[in-house]
Amino acid sequence: MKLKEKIPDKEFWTKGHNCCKGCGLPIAVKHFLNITEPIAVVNPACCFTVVSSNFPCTALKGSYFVYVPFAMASTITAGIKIGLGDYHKGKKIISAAIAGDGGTYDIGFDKVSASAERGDDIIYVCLDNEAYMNTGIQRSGATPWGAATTTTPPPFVKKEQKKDIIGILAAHKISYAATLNFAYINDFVSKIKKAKEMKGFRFLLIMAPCSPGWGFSPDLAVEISRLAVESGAFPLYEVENGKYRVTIEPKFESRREKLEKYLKSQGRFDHLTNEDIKRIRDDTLTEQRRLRALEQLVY
Amino acid sequence: MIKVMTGAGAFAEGIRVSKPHTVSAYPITPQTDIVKTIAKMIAERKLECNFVNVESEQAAMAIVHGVALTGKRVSTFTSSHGLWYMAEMLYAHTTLRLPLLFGDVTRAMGMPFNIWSDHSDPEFVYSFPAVQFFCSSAQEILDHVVIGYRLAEEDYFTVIAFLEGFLVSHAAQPVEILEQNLVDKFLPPFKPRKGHFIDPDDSPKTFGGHDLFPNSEFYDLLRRKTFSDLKKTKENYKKIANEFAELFGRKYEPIETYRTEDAELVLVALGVTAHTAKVAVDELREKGVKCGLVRILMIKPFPEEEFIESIGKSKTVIVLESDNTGVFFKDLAAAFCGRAEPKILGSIIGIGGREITPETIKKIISKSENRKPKLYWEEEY
Repeated sequence: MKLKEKIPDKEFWTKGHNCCKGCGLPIAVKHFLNITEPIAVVNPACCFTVVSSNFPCTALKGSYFVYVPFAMASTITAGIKIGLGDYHKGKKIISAAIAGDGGTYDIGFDKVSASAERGDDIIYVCLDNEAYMNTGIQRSGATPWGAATTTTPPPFVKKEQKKDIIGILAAHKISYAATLNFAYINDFVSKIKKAKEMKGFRFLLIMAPCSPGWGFSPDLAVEISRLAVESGAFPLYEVENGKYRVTIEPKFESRREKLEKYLKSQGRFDHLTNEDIKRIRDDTLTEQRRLRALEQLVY
Repeated sequence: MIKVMTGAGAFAEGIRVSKPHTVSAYPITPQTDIVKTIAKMIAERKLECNFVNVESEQAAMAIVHGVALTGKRVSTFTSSHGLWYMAEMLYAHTTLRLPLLFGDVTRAMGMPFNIWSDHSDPEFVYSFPAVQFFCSSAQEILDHVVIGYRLAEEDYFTVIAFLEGFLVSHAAQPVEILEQNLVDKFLPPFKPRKGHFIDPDDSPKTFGGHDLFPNSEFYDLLRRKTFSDLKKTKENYKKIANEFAELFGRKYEPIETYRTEDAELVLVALGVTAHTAKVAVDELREKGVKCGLVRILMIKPFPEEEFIESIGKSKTVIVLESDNTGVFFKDLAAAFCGRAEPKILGSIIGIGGREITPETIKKIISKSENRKPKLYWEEEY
């Protein structure tokens, strides 16, 4: 893959953080911080809290780090933006939330919805590792169908679908919502750059593969991320002012084999039968068709 | 100049002359009039500030927390269910030592559903590291918004100003308004301390970050400092109140004493109950009973020394309160712990807005001689 996008060589995220071996978070966060240079990063309880800021140290070099009660990330980020205004000495003020899927899909959901409804001028990053990983792998509204967690242990694996958070927030008519995956670095960087230049509520859903939580070998973080897109399990698309656009279209012929590889590389899907895998594959095809149909909508 | 306004209107007026940067609040009876008044003031250009409409009390507190983190003057206000709903967020704000002027219009807490006033709100936040005033009139609430901001911004605490639902919030009273030029002199624009806010010109800091290691003393030391700093706000309040008296002519102290100089029996009460108790005191004095009253204005930090000084020589003290567990009785008893006199009794009355009259209070006084020193939940009104 050729690097088309210019990635700033800054040090907003330093080494010495506490991430697990093979964690996807540091890759995502490093690029996000270096590109957007937020004045403040608001963070509710999630993995990011304990890996980045353990008193008396911090891995964030250029941004204030504000730890907040679990549900409150989006609203406090908005408050900070209101307090600071739009510019400081000619530089655009960016107030960002970095939250997990728990704080976004579940406990913080109504706050995120209200922020979206108000059009709070913030960038909201959801690092989606598809469960409450910080507390030891419990299911969230972001946990996919069929996944095992400590609160959905086999045979009582999750039988509910993953919440369509992008669809929900797009229905609030926000300026920008997108799914991001660092295995596709150009797409990843260009979406962050786009969000940086926009105004209003901008929502970035970043897939954050979790080695201990998903049960894959730590050296496979990027590979798992790539398989997620190639299999259709994690489609890459954006909704810009209501307009849907699929940004990376995986090859149709290889989807089935990629999905099998994706599911079989993760311990959380160990118990899946062939029927389950077929069901998941059908779901990814339905989703692909849904997104294609949404792309056709003209405003 | 005298104007007629309700307690809610007076609180809003206090906010107006304090010129906050941002106000955010969620409507709840009996606080709603404050929300509407402030929104109207902004529409009429009498107040220039951000008013953020939010989806819940949690969010209201979160918005002002975010703005306060950037070193700006803010306010929010609520009642009962809203107070409990934003409790986590409010506690986070108080323990992060950020200034705030917080209004609470007291209201009984469910279940069952009840909109009338009692003291369950101050009871609930009694343990929070916040300075707390229980105001008893529209004038007092107007004055304490402005005094509260001075205290909050000097000592870096949340200041909670309580006013009773309907009894004060909805009762129209004559109020001496505060001249803007004098308020500007008394309450200058907020200058946040360096390193205590999100400052684009400063090196970045971490707010609220946690300590990974167990058995760390850091949190303990921080809490200890917070609560010891809270105790010191009383002296600063007195200084600020003196300054206020010089500019505006009204002198405030942590407690108000009424006919306590030679009193053998002293009532202790808050807010409107204290004014009702004054009537009972006057009626009993006519009959030769040497009684008096102390009204607590600054309920936190609890003014122990002032109590000991004013009523230390009386024989009986009866604390009248409208909360469920007797928090003021307990604090007063603790202040006099170890002393044989006075005998301290507590009476819970007025729960859920049940009406308290001078008769109610006189009945309690008549029982006090035969009662043992403890907390009583009154039945006869």
